[in-house]
Amino acid sequence: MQVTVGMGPRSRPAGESGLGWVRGRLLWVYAVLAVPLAWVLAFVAWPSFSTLWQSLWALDAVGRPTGFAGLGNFRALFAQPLFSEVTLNTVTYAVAATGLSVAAALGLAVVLARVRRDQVGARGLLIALFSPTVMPAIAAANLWLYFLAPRIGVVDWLLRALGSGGENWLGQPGSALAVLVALFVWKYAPYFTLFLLAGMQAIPPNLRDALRLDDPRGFSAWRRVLLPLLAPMLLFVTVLALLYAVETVDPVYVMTQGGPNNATDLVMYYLYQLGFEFFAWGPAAALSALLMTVLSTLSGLSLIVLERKAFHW
Amino acid sequence: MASVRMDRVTKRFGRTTVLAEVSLDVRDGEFLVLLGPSGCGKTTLLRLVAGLEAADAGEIWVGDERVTTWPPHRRNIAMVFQHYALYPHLDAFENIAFPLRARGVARAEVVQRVRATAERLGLGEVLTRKPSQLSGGQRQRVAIARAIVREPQVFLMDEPLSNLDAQLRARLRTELSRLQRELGTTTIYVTHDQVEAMTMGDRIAVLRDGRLQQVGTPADLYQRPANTFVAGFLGAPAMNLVAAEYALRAGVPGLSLRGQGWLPLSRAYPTFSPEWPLTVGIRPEAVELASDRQAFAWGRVEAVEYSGFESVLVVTAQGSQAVQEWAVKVLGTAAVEVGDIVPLAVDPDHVHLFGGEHGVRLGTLAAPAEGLELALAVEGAQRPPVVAPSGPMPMQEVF
Repeated sequence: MQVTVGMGPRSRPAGESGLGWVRGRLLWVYAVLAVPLAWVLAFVAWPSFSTLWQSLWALDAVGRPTGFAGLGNFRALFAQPLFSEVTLNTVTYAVAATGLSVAAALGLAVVLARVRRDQVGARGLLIALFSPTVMPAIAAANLWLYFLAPRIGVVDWLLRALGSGGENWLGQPGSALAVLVALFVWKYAPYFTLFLLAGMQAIPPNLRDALRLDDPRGFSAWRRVLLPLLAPMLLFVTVLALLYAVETVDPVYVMTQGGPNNATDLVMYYLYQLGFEFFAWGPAAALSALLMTVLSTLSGLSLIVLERKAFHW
Repeated sequence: MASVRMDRVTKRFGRTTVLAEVSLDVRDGEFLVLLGPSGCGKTTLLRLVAGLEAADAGEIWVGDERVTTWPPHRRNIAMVFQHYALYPHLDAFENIAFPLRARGVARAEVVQRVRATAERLGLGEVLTRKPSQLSGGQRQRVAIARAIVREPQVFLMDEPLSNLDAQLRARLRTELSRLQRELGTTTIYVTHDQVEAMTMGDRIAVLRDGRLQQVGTPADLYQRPANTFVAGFLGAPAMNLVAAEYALRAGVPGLSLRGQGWLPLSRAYPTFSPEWPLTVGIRPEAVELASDRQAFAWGRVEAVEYSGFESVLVVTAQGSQAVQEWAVKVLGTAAVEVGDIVPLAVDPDHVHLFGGEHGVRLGTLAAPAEGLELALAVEGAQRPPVVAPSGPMPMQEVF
């Protein structure tokens, strides 16, 4: 950011009128910032504000305000019988998906940290690992739909070879949610691995050498040194996973439509239902406002903690 | 405590041979310094002893145990690193306590041993501080405390003082030497700093390009450097190394310094073939400006670097073939100024003679070294360097 550096009076060229020079520089700064600023205003700030605003108004079927509702939309939302079910689903899903994907990512990072780049197959392994991450969610969900189809799917085929099978994984409440969790882990764990791998590689090699000399079992090294040093990165990845998990909608839409028996109705899908199926725009706006507040608070807090706790080597 | 033995240790990284058949014995309780320029393989050798790298060939022994394939923690060796390698989120106490806790030492004993070690290193006041709140010297003391608290058989130190400023370095040097004497733990200390090597080591092993050049006491290395590399590496300013040719002067055998002077050579030496490369080495403090000895050359003082007790002069001698620069050390009180023309004289006892492609030490001008025949045989393996004294004398233009 040479521009901001140039703002300092010291770098001002001699002979120019001070005020005019500063004004010229400022103009330039704003000109450069104008495009991203307009972007943020139009696509982040304005929608956020209007969502919060709309959540306080009674809205008709096409979303036009018909009168001030206060907290009426929120009351209506909480009164929906589906709401508590969706909340429970989402919490279960988010906790399981986050926990498992972060644990898997940590395991992968530990393994990958040992793989040398010039080792045979290292490149192939990386490509295989990260292909789910770069695959569009819709495509991944469709792929899994075929994998899991009873009788023709590869999962059923494998299970039959082992003597069981004939299971409709998406047809039962418990297993359907578990499939969504598995899909999340499959898709995102490699992505989170990248962050944790970077975190591990940021630990100075000498520190690892010291641990190898000091710790006979490697247990203390992990518990007392490596995990605490990775903690900021783990926190970051966990919050990221939580945000992604709460935002999950595509696989629900493609694979289960929230069923069976609403067992996979997650909050984002529910939000979509509220708006585009039930045309309950008021409660939809209330739910959006609620989600926005909770999630942004969560990520804000995590950023603060991250900045405080991070080690600057 | 234990001795450490490296037996024909070889290490390659890809196609580069970092260590070539290094054999070295470190005695029980000894402070051995591995000295060499950067990239000579000294740190790699240390890491092989620690078990942080695996040797491609050769064996490593600690005491009576062959530890070549043992993992680092089993070797009961502690290491101190150049960049401290402290655990940044643990305070000084927990850093020092870590190796004990990891080994399951009882709580009370941990506290007692950490406190005792910290006291010994003057860290009593800062035990609750995190590494980021400690000065460089304190950090390195904590790292040293972490190494000694578990009472290992061997200490390995990898340039532990090179991140500190000069004053602190000098102080910690003394402290480390004292500590090592008190503990009596076998120590291998890597450095590229010859002052550290000379002041701290019981013995010094000089490495160059992965090959051991010489192992000996600091005095050995200083007074009888095995080759021109060791001669030039130890001592500041470096030894004056000048190419020479065997030349007779009025029937007296001697060495012509490429037209800049002539020095008589002991008759105990064989007659050298004129093609065989010879190098003369004279330490800056061995050059005498004012003496009753006959000058071997005259030169002009180009620079005087006064440092209190002594001054280092740069003197150029104009020869028939080239200009030779001499570093000369004199007392600070010497009245020498830039531009003075001064006589250069030297005691033949203090002039080292090196021969052959690798500049192997042959002795001083006054007397050949013991084992001269061997050195000549090794160096002359490809081409006989020695012309029998009874043969025809090579006549050369002298001076």
